[in-house]
Amino acid sequence: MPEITLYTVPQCADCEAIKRLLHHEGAAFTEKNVRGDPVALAEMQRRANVRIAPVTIIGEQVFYGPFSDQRPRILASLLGRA
Amino acid sequence: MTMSQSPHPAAPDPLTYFVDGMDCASCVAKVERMVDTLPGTEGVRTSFAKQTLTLHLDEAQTPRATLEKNLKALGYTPSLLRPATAPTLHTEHDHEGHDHAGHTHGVALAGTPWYRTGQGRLVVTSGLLLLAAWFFGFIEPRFATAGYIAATLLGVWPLAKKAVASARFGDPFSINTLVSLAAIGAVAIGQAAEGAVVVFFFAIGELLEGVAAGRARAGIQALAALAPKTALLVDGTQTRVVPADALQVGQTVQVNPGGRVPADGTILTGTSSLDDSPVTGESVPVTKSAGDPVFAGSINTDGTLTVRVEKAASDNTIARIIHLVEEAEGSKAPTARFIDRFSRWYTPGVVLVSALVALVPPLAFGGAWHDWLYKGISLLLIGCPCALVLSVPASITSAISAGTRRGLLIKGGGALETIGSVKTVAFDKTGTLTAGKPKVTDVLGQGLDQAEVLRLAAAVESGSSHPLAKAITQAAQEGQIVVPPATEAQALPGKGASATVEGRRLSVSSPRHAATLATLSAELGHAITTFEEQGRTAVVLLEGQTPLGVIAIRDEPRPDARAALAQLHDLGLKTVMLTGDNARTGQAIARDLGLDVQAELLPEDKLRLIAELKAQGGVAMVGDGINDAPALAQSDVGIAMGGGTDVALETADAALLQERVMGVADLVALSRATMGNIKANIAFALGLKAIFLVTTLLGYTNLWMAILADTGATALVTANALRLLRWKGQVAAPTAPTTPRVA
Repeated sequence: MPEITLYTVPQCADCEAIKRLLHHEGAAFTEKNVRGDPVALAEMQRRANVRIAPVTIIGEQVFYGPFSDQRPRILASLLGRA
Repeated sequence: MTMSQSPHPAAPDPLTYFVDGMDCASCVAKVERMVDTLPGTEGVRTSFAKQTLTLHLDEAQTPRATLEKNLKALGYTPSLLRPATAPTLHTEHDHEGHDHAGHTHGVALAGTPWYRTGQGRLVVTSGLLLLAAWFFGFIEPRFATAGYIAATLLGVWPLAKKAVASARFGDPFSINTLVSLAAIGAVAIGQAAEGAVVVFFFAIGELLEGVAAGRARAGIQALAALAPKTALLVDGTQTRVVPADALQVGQTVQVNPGGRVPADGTILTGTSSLDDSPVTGESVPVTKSAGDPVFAGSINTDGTLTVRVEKAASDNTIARIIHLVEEAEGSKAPTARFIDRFSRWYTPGVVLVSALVALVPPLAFGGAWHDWLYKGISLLLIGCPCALVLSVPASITSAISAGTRRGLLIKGGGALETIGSVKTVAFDKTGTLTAGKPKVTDVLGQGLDQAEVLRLAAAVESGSSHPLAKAITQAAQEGQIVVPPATEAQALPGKGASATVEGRRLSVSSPRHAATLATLSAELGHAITTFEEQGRTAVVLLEGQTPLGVIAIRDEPRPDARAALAQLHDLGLKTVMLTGDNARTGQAIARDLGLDVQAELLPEDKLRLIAELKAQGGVAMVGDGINDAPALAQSDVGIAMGGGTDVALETADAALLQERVMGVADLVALSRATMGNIKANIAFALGLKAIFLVTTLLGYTNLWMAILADTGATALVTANALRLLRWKGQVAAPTAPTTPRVA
């Protein structure tokens, strides 16, 4: 199982939706809040070259953008691994 | 007004801002929407990588300061970077070669006749073998026995395979184990005919369940079939017909009157009434025009539209709904899990008792081996809880399908069960009980006329996306009032906004906050109290510490809110409204609608209250699914209202695809109908078992009767479950003309 990291900010509906999706798919993940945490933000920027949450990293694959954009790709990625 | 894409050929260098605080995807969308409303903006791009906003700005139409002020009003701090030379595209999302066109689900069953499925062939073959064996019985009994044994082995083979598979997953006592043991035992004691009949009937039971699920799904699949197969692609000045599933995001399609919309998208030109019933279940057409979203499958009733495609066919709203429903039907209700747990001790129990009955009397008391073995095997056969196990999934599947066709999307059996058992339903106010489109109802000037109050207040609020601010700017627009520019705008969350307009330091704030800044005259205070008691929200326009006027704003309750709440009370539920609005306004609206209220709540207060209600016997939270996602998640069942947005569909446990409060009462009623159905089935199946267990042991009934009884029970509970498909809700009653309309 590849490692999954989800970068989020508080009160962010897209982030909540992705958390739900990952829970629902039974995928374990590490959540990192990047608001007010420069280390996590720098890490997210280094790994994804993106400054906007939510960012989902599954193994080597990086997904970002609104939930509706990420959803099909996250599912495809999880399916590909299963 | 929003589409200000006027071609300015000699645009200056683009501006690029780093936008501090724009750190989530919906923040980006919010910024883009705000910029879209400003005149003179062009080539607007946001970069996820750099957290920047890049645009061409015609500063004759919108000064840079206005843009920056508006960003600040949204809570973001822009800082201007050097004019960008190569703006980063927002659409640079890496697609990584994952095409998501392969959304095929294994439910081609809907169109396949039952006798063509694997299960159907098994039933037919073992049935024919049984019949052949029975005929041979008249000619040569030995052939008959061979035929029965063959039929038994044929029927048991797939069951035994499943039993071994579940034993590997740590569940050695599945229903399949029980049936396999019983059938093999029957062959072993020379009762191959009984064994063959048992597996034959068991196969029929499974087939019935498959047919039931197939019928339920067929209703949903029919929705998908409504999306047209072809689309009219606009290609330059011509149109050509292309397959709908080949459409790509960003293409433009034309939809003629009477045609169906081929893809999810946004209207570019044209106005028409659209029948969205495939997606929302609501068949009253909705008038839509440029900028409004449309769904694949909707019927375009009168005008010609051009639509920009925004979702690929495999990922449009209707495909997502179908997918979610299929997932939901696959997930088991707690009751289904209860039966799993039940069978985990019940099956070994039955095996043990059967073994004791078969072994103890012959060994200990010298009973006839054959008699007691026969009794033991009979117990094994009677004990197998086929009807029980098969009935629950059939009920859940039927109920979820029935709900979906009425615009009630339930994500799984767990949610379906919980909705009917909660004690309290908590509602968010704005956008849930109310339409979420507040309008200015009254303007009071203190030494200046109404238009002036509106003009100044609109200037202060021009950059804000708060619903109240929008109501004020909209009222100014409708009154054809020219709104002056504002500078140094600041938002004070929960309190109001302030800005400098025409050199005057103005603020628009809540009465409570205004009272801390200025002394309100008795006249104004009285006016505010009156407005609030009428369920309106009042805001005060101040210059420094001098009140200039009061604006009253009202968000109308949804037309069916009152009737729906009455319905919920009839169902024995408590209802409560949770609002951040002031207590008087909240109470006035709650009194109109007839429910309790908790007002002046901060987001964390809502969470605390939800937790308290949860402890008092369960709570369902109804909200818009976007702003109150945490409260929805915290409640026992989160119900999102207001359409098929991706975020709402994902965060909530159930979603109302129509914007009707009555959907909540329908959900509760559907849940209760389903649980009643399941309980009736369980009681019936278990009761029948108990009777035959006793009568067979006492010798009044034999194995054949027990087998027939169980098969009959299986068919009956399945038929009972299918009745839920015809569930119609209870919408007809409350829309009676006597229902008092809420003013």
